Amino acid sequence: MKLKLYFAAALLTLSACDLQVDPFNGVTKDNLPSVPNALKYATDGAYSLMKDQLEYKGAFDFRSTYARNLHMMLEYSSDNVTLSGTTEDPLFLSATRQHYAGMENATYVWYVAYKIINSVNQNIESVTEGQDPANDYLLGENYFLRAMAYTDLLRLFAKPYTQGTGNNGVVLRLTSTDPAKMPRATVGESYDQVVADLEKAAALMENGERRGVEYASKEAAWALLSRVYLYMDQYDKAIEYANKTIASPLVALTPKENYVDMFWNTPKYSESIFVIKHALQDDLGDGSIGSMYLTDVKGWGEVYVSEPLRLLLEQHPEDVRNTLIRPQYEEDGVTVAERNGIPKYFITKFSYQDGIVTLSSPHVVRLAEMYLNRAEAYAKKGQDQLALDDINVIRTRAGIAAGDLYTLGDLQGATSVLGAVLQERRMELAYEGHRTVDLFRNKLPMDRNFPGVQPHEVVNWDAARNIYFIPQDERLANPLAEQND
Amino acid sequence: MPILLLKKLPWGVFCFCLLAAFAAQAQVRTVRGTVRSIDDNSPLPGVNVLIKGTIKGTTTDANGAYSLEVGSDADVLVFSFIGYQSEEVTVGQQTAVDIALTQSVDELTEIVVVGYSEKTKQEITGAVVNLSSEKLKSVTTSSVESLLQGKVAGVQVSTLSGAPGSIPQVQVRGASSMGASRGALVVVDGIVGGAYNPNDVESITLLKDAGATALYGSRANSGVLIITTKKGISEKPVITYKTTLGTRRITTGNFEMMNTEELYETERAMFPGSAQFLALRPRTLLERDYDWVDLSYKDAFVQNHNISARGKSGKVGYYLAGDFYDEEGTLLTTGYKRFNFRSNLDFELSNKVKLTTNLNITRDKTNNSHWRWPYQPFLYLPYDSPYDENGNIRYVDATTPGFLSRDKNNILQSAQYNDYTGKSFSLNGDAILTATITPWLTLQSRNRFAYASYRSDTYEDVKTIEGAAYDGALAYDISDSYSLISTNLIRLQHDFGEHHLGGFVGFEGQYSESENAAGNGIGVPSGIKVPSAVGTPQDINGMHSEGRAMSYLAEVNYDYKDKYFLTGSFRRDGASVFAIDKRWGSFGAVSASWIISGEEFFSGIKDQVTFAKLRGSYGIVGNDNVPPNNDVGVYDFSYQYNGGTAGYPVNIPNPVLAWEQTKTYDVGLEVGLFNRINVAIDGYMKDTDRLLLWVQQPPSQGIARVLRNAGRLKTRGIELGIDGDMVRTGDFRWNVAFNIGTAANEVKALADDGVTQIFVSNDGVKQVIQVGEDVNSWYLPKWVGVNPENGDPQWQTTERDADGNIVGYGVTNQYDVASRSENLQIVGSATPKVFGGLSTTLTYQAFTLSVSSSYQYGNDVYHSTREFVDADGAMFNFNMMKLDDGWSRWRNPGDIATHPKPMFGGNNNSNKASSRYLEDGGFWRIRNITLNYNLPATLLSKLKLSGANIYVSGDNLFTFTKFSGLDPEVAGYSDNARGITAGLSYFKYPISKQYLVGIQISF
Repeated sequence: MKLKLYFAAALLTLSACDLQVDPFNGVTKDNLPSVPNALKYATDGAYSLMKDQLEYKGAFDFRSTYARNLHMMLEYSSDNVTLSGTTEDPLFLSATRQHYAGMENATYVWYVAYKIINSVNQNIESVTEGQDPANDYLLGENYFLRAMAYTDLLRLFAKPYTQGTGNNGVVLRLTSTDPAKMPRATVGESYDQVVADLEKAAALMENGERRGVEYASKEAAWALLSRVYLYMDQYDKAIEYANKTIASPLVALTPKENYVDMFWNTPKYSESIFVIKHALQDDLGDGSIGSMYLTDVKGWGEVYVSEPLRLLLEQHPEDVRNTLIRPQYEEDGVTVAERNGIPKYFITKFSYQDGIVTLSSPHVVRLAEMYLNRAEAYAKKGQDQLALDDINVIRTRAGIAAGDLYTLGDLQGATSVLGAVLQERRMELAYEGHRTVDLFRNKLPMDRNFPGVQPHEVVNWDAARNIYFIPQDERLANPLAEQND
Repeated sequence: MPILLLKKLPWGVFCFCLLAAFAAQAQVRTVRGTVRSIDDNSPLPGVNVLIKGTIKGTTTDANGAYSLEVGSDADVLVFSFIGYQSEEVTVGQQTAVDIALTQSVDELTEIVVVGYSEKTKQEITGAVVNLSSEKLKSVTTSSVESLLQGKVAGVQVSTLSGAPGSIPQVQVRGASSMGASRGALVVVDGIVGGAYNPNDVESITLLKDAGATALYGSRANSGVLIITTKKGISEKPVITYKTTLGTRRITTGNFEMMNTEELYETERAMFPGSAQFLALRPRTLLERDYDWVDLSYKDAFVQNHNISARGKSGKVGYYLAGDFYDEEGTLLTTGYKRFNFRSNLDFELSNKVKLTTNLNITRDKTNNSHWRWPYQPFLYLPYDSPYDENGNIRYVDATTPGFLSRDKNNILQSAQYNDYTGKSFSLNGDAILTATITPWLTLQSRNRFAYASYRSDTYEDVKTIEGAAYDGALAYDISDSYSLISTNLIRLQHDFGEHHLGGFVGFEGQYSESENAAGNGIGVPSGIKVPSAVGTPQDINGMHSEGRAMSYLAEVNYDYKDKYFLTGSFRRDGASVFAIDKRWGSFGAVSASWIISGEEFFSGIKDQVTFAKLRGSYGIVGNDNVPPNNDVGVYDFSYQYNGGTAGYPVNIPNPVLAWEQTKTYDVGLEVGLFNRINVAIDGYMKDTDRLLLWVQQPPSQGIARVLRNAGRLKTRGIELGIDGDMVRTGDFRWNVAFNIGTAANEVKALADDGVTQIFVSNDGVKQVIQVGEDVNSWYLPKWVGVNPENGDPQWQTTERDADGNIVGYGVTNQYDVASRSENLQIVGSATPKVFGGLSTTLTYQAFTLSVSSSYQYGNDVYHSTREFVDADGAMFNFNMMKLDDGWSRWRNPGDIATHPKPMFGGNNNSNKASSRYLEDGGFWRIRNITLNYNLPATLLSKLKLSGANIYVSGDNLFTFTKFSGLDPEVAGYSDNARGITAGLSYFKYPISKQYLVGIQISF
């Protein structure tokens, strides 16, 4: 009978065991408020989404990060760079504009943008505003991140604001409990939300201390407001926020001597307003942005400066922006090497952080853009001299002599003041994802007749493929979201 | 009277019961005798001799002799032997009991381990298939799973990779889950889970229907694979040495890459004029031709040595075995080495208490490859050389002049310096205590402690492309896990005249814990492969997890006159992965069988139909194979930003997440004909509801999928197995075994809140889950061939009415149109219509020739490799596959071709996912051919050996298929956790043809 007792005891012991297993790698949302610094961790989580390679529906794609796909989808379809060969990577579809709705790079960037938005929404829901200044500041960062993600989505998937505010914008999700199926808001509604978020972000961060250029700040909010208002043709607002940003004691243009290093080591320079920090452990190797632009032992090195941009920059060999370009020479040391007949002019804007060839922390926004935004707004308001003054700041910093600056009498090859502004903007912000948006929102065509695998054509500002299809997966699970033309 | 004394019971935190006991004995005397076969009067070695109602017994030696201590004159000896009818003899006053056994082809009395119980085949009421070691031997492999290929009706075994040490997928009776799919549950020596070496396996039992699997409740929805390892039963010790040596060479089926000449001509056609072509591809390329597949995949050596000792010494039975398995990989430096030690000891502590301890220790080392290595040999251009001018393997990067392949590296060079190793150590210790308190009451405690550690190391030398940019790189990951499982049963049995009643109640508890720590860094001096050598540490990380499960279980068996059998089983499982009030699930089954041939009315045809059994079962099993904490919203904090901790929400919580459950119905008929042919027919239906599904969300929710009980799936099928001797004369025997099974599934319902389609995805290749369709339905743009006018690719478009119904079709040459959601269509299914195997054995005197094969038919495999190597120019700078039989490329207007006009840069996205690359996945594969020779008895006795045989064998020698890819054998079910999609063929480590020679000696 003793044995039976032991069995009975064993039975009881087992029954007393608890089936509850709490997560070991995190906390439940309900427990979040009880964790010290939880909002800080959760906010940093939203930043981390921009640089990590994330799983999507159980599958890893060892190419995609938010920062990389956003960059490639914007820049590779422009006239600044040229792709020298075919590739199985969907970046090929961006470069050749052969889009389709199942494109993995587009699906990924859409998904992760909304992952950031969902994180922000849940973070906002988890704390009450106005109770703790430190939390309010972090909430400000969250509103900024939501606005940034929506701005990125608008640039990729919606027609420019200037082409009509009634067009399809983004699916506006502002709470984590929104229904799964939602239609797209209009472009006008989408931009209004971005502006509202950015203004709220700036207000919440007004009195707090910036955590560094790796994080959002009131300067970052103002800078993005300047850009967004420019996109919306609200020139005074664009100027106002450019002014506020430029006036901040935390920001300054980097001198010419450090120009290249400013891109290699973005976090160290006060010209950087907000960068997506890639720490040493975030080195993406062949999957980095810089890998496609440069081979230095490592790197694919298959995308080069386009011929027209290179010729534009070469008009002034002393222009420091030329030093970001590094031709690869044949053994004779003179002939530029070619790949598939295209000269290999490497671009080093996304390389060499901490000496690692494929490591870089790309800018989301930097100070030079503020001068260019303001210049464009002035130009559109007819304040031509003010416009030229601003772009001359950029041109002077690039090391171009006073005699070669823009004057009303000499637009350095441009046919209008606005043209001069856009020309300078192209050179300064090259390979930073601005070019296509800048042309099409200004209803300007893009000439892609230069060596490369892309179709040799002039792209009209209203061409359907200036923007991407929204992902097939979105349409399948959310048929209310209309597809682009 | 024997008195049971409980000496000591150490009581651990986790209720580990270890019992020790001894008993007093009386009236002991020894009975001796010889067991012979009634047919030819030859002695029978290895016959079980048991005292009825006890666990006390022995086996006969090589001369058929035994001796056994009996307690009283009333003891009854039970003689049983595979293939013979059991006999019972009451000892009485005899001191010698000789007996002759009658052969029986139906093996009804053979004991089969069916999990928590052991039963004779006659007693089994469920769909159970038993394979003895005889049927399993002759294949040298690192896994038992691969032995099952084609052997059992309704069982699909899929080899996913030819990499050394990889384990195939086993699926029983098709799909029964979607988001929580798993293979068959493995049970080693009566305890869930466990490790074993294939050479130590005595028998394998497959449980197919709920009547048999319900006792495994939560984990048995894909069948149960019960593995029983060898024991020592013969008084005479037998020492066996077995050695096998052989070579392996990859087989790539119909998949062949182009050589220089073929590629050059194909590429020339991609350009309108020769100037552009010659600029990219100068004629001098024609002087070079390198077959990278041949250079990277080499003939490899495989060897296996095994020594074992088994026997019984007094009250201790023992089986000890040491095993060394060494498989060179065919690919570069890959390989797998394994040492295994097993000790199975059975102690008769008294004639009522028995203790079994099983210990299995495995140490293995795998040389893995960089993830690029398996596929890159297929993509390198034959124009490119891996060698420098001096013929040495050279370093290649993007600046290497004239190296044209898309990927600028040389895996032959990297393999010389880089290491990707995995080492594991595992220890499984079982203690099984059985106490027969009275003839009708037995207590049993089964316990296992399992420990496993794993270490992976990556070392990338500064001399290689992988390490150069970092001055050398190094990473390691060390993990450590253990689990405890304890099953405790109270077993009862009693006979009431011709009514026999038995059964058990019990409980089972399981706990597991695992953790890992990993780190990596850069700046590693060449050749110094230790973490301390790292100059700049990059990252550290680690995880921890725990799991718990608890179950209550019970079984009742009843039979009347050994003709009518009834079994009922019940199990209640708790699982922490479900919502707090949904964690407990109740499962169970009833099954019954009727031995028709035991009836009076059958006696007239007894000579023709020697045996007939009808059986049926109904039962419910569950499934909890999903990750924890999906019932609550979780912020995962295992991320990092700017060096600081970072976290974000990783799920949309489902507060009502509950068990998936599968109801299974099975009817089976087993017939024995002319005492030499066995036929088994089964019909079954599995009805899974509360289907655990990762329901696809709009990506704009920021969470890709939500785990929900979102559907209902029905799978039904018929299985037929025939096994018989076609010819059986004096020294010639010809046996044929054939089996065929079907497993058709249909989605019956999906959640009613508007979720009608759920997708899995792999690089844009999609399957849909849609009511009325197969769960693995391909959902792709429909390819309609090449336009004869201009060589354009063409896909079908659909015209739909306002409700989305298709009312007409069109054609487009624009992939963006073809791939719009409204144009996707179900174009095939990854589920085979039938599958099975055919094997045959010819025995002439001491020679045995056996051939085994497996086949499947009626499934569509998506050959995704073709997106890269059959891409019409879109993947310029990758090598291309040769056109298969019947394929043709468009060249001139009017050509009726399968392949569009090749163009540099591609032809209108012709290589993107569509039904163009969906192919017939049917195949018939000759798995194994073995010729074995048993040394004659006269020679054996001269050599003082008790047995010896030598054999030669060949694996995977022939495959008959239309499939154009490496291997038509692809995953049978999707595995979200491993990123595996059913029916998808991608580059993989190719399987090998293997040629072996082996010798086995026993003395």
